[in-house]
Amino acid sequence: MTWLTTTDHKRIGILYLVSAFAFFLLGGVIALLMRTELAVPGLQVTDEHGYNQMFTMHGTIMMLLFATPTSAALANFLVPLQVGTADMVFPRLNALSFWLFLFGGIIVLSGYAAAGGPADIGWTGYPPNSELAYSTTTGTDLWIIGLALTGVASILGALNFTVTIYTRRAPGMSMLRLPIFSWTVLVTAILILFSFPALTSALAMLLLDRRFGATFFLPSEGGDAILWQHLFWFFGHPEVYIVILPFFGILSEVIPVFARKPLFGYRAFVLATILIGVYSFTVWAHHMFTTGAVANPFFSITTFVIAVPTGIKFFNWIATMWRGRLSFPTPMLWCLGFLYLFLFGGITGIVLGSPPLDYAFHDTYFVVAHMHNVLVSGTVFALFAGLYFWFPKMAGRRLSERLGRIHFWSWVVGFTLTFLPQYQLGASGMPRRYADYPADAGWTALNQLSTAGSLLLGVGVLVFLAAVALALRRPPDQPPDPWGANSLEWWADSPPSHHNFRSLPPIRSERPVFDARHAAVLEEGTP
Amino acid sequence: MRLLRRLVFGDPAETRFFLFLSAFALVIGAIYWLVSYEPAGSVLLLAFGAATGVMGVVLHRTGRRGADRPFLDETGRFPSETPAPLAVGAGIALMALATIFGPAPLVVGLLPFAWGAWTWLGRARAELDSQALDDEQRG
Repeated sequence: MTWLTTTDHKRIGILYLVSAFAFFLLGGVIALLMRTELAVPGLQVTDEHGYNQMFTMHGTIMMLLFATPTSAALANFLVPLQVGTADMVFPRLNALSFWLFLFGGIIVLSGYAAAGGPADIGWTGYPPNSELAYSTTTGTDLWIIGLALTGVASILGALNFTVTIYTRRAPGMSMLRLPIFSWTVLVTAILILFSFPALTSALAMLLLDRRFGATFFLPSEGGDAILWQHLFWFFGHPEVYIVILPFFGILSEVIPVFARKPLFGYRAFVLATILIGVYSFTVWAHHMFTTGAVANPFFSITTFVIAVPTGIKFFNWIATMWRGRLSFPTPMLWCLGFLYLFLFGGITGIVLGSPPLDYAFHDTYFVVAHMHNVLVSGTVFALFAGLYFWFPKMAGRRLSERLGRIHFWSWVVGFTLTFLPQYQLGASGMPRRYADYPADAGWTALNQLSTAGSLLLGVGVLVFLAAVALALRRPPDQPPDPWGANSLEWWADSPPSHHNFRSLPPIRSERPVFDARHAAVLEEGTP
Repeated sequence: MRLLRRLVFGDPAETRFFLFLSAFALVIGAIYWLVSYEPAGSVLLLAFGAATGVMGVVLHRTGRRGADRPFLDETGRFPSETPAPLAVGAGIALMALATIFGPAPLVVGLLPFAWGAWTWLGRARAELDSQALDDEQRG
């Protein structure tokens, strides 16, 4: 019962995490069903309309009910601890954000109980397909309402993070001593504050079109369907970085700990984070190259430019590891998996940023492979790195290394098998969002490889759930700082007490816990 | 030039962050308009620049800087457990459904929303009063 009434940021973080992970499991099951459908030509699992609903719900769930709230979950748990305060500035508003997100998600899913089933318009909801004439199911209206609520929840949460980081930092914690994860949360919060209103207003306009006779996106009535694409992608591309940036922050917390070195180029990393944030507002129409309604060269150049700060981050991570005293426990393995797989996604993003190539690859499986390479490796790999790293802080228990390694390798192999063949499928012309393909197209073997890989990903998730269940059966036994880490959350107990800290160490750098540990060693005179 | 120098070097990082966002968005918005004459994107970019600019200017004028307060034991200074956010959230969700299902969810949703909002505001008021008293006693 106390979980329903809590205003404690740590509990709200865990509520976000559990809910988002439940949505992730559902989105994963839908993905497995889609991959099963595509394993062989013909319709086995569902019909074309059912397939439309599947990819709509899979995309919506993974992007907006899993990836976005997962970063909110970790930020909720960690930001007050990292900045050295007792809670968020607005604890009740924080709780309201969570409940609005949860109810929004439930409303989106309630489409399964509606006449006609859930939304069938793709997670991008392009009109005129999403207008009433083409999507008659009530599930689409529920999709609109549910996403609007989750959008409002994100905006309230972002406001809370921004004000907390600006006003509640501990004495000595200047902005340039802020842990990198909190920096990435701050930039993410700013992105949310200025991008989500575009989505919310677009959803409101679509609902007015569908329910109240407006014509915002109906070209036949003087409306403009392309306007939706502008509004959606003005939200949608920053959304990619909203999803990714906090996970960049996780890597930047984990790698220095297991390289036994400070993060290489802290200030450059902060600047690169800010630059990615602002550039992300200038690239939205690279999703619209083929509409012929946007300035392609402008968006192509900005798309290439945004790769530069991302490259700086890669350089920072590699330089941090360079000549470090490296060890490879499970969190570090996940970070390395991220670096390997995200690089594929980043490079193919450059390919798609070129309009002539984008015309060839648009709406093919190449785009599907690129998107998953960026978003799954970017979010899920880094999330697992973060969960294995901070689980001792959250629960006072450590996850099994052995199961963690099985989990990791099943994901690296499964992910590579699932998505690398999709690049080739796209290059040979297989369109996305089709439930079926001709038997003589030569795509069957690659699709079967992709399906086998996705099953391996499913097995990996089961291994992770087993690791969590086994860890939770043991009593808490972890010290405050089991890894020998750097930032302030490792000063608190594991798990932290209600108001986090009884005292704080002096904060004279971005590694206050390292400094305190080092000072203690010097005082004792032992190395 | 002096004003620019003051803006760039005189303000804390918190303020410079918003001023940088604003300048970037306004410049990019202007360039985008000139190369495309496309209204929707131009308005979005310029509005982003204006909004971040407002925040930057407010921070600049008030000279707000974080991290200058002593560490406090904040036990008792934060709200205790309350069902108000859950009730308000449930109320808003139900009321939003009225746009699809007619006035019934609006009526049903109003009850938890109103109760939650009343409870929330009442407790916030009580906390503010007790905090003011506490601050007075601490001097």
